[in-house]
Amino acid sequence: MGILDKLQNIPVPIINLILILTISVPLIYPIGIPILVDPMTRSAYEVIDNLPEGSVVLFDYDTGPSTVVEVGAADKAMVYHMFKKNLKIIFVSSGVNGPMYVETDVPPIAKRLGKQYGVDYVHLGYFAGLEMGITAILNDISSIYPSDVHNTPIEKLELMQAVKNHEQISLTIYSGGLGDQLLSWIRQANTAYGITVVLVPVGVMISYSMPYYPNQVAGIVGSLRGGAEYELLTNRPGEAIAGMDSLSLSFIWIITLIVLGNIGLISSRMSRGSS
Amino acid sequence: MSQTFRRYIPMALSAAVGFITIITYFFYFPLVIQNASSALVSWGSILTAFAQGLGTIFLLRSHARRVIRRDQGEWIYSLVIIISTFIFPVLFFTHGDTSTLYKTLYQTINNNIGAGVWGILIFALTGAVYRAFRLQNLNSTFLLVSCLIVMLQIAPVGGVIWSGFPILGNWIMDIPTTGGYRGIMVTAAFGLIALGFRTLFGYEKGYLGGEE
Amino acid sequence: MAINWVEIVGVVFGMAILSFVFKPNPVHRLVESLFVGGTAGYLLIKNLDSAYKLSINRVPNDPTLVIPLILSVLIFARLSKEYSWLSNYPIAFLTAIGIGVSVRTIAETDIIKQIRSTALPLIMPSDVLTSFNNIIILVSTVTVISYFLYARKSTKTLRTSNKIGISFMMIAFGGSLANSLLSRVSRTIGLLQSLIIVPSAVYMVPIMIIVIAISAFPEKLGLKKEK
Repeated sequence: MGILDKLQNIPVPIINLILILTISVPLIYPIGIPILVDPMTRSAYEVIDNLPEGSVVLFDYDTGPSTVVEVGAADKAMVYHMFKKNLKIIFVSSGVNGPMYVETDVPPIAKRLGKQYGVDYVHLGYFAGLEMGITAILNDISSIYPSDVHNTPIEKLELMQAVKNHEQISLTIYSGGLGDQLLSWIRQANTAYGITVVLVPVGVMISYSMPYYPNQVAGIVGSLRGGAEYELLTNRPGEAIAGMDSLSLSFIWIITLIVLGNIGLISSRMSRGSS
Repeated sequence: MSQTFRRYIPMALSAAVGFITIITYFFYFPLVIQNASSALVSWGSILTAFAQGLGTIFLLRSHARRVIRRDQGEWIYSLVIIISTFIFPVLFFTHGDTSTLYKTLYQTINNNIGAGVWGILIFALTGAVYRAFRLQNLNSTFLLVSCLIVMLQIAPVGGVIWSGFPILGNWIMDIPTTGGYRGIMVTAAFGLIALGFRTLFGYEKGYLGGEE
Repeated sequence: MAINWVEIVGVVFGMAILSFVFKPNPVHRLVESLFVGGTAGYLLIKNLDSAYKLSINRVPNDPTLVIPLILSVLIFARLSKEYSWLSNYPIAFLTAIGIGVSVRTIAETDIIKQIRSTALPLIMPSDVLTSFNNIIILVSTVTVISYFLYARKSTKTLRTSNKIGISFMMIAFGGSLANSLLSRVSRTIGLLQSLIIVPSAVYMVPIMIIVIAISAFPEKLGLKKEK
């Protein structure tokens, strides 16, 4: 019985140390566990794949230090996919950190695929105001963005000469961790103007997005797992796929902890019952 | 008189602006009113930008007080906070936000440390899950079983252990989770609409904080 | 050999933050304070830059922008006890706009369309599984709504409905918790990736372990008298 009681009280440093090991070891020695693609991720992929060439996508790149690990891989895979399909992308950011990640992630992909700034994509930068900002952008982009992130007046950008408001936008993507912002895009883009919405939420927000799928949200690429699936679909293995083995082993450890704790509890209840 | 300026005029302003924004969405008005409504919304972005700056000022004020009082064991950290607050604003004006130094410092301070701060949460959560997740009654069993199955759907190894885990996990997310959260969203929407209209009609005055 | 200082500093900061998991220590607190200040300063300058481009820079072309500028200045009255009532005007304006833009679409997004998505065919002899799923969605949605709206549980039917609603919510929260764990583990994977898969980690990780141990246990190492 001593062992079973101990199962309910494993010391915290041991738990943490084993957790670190289950995450670190597969990063150094990958296992290669196969990944299945979720229907929601496939749905998001097909929405982008089926857009006509030249369609305009509004991408709210709300990545930040807290969310870059979760959604960064999916963002890059989707940007690559959209450039490959010759879609035009307008990058905005409802978070202050997003523009820094756009400047780091997008130019290398654009350069590799021969995409030109101002023609194939523009980066407008941060907008304040959350839902108010989204409403203003969809009404009239120039009311929130007199210039792009490089201080070029938007009327001088070839892409922005053709895109003035929601009427020219075919798809909106929100990538980030703000639950309010996720719902705001659904309300303002899909409900108000009927624009297709795809979400790239962090893990915590996946459940909040479920009620809107598939009628109001066309696809959900959730967290690191969704990023790995999207990398698989675009045939570009990257950091998300690299993290999947760690995810597997760490989850096995957490499940083991839960089961051990409950075995200990059930056994001690049974022994108290019999005595 | 002072109540008029401090409370009633702001409430009237709130009601007017709120109802213009709502009504112009549902009905067609002359273009000048539609444009005015759009302008009001874009003004909201300007105010939000300034309001977010206010938060930093409050932070600086609170930590400056600790430094001045020399709170034992704390004032050094408050001094570090104050000094580091000025790093990016100073660099913005001296080098610009597209400079290599600005981007490098962002990468080292905000990105690296920020990722780390969020990366240690799992340790607290694992300990909590281990201690709290016990089969106490029927509802806790539902919670536990549902969590375990979805975890085995999320982790690629779940599909290797048994091909049914991804199917079951997807079913749990698509059907009962969707239904449950849908119920929560619908109820929350009722509450938000009620709270919104109560605020616009002046029954809720909590947003008029400070001196009233 | 060129030293990659960015990488080294990244490892130092990552190890400092990770050390908090085992024992809070001065190194971790210093790094955390640096982050708090850095984030606040970055937030401040990005918002002020945005505000400048949206308002001050455009006033010559659009004089009406003086109104939000005046309201924005009034926000800072909150810093003064005597004049903080002046900040009620911009706050009232912001609250109203926020309510206006969200309330006008929330009815359709979160009520009408959600009800439409729930009202699915319940009896389809040709597709028993879909019928079953549709019934579960309907029952779960209705019972969860009844749990929140009819919390007083005055009749036996409502009490039963509430109990079923709670059960469905527990299943939903179980799924949500699993995704929450995905979120947290993903971030830890990122943290450890930045600590392990860099060349300088080979020497920086042991150095940081020593530094943090010294700062966390100065009494045990004889560097400080035990109280």
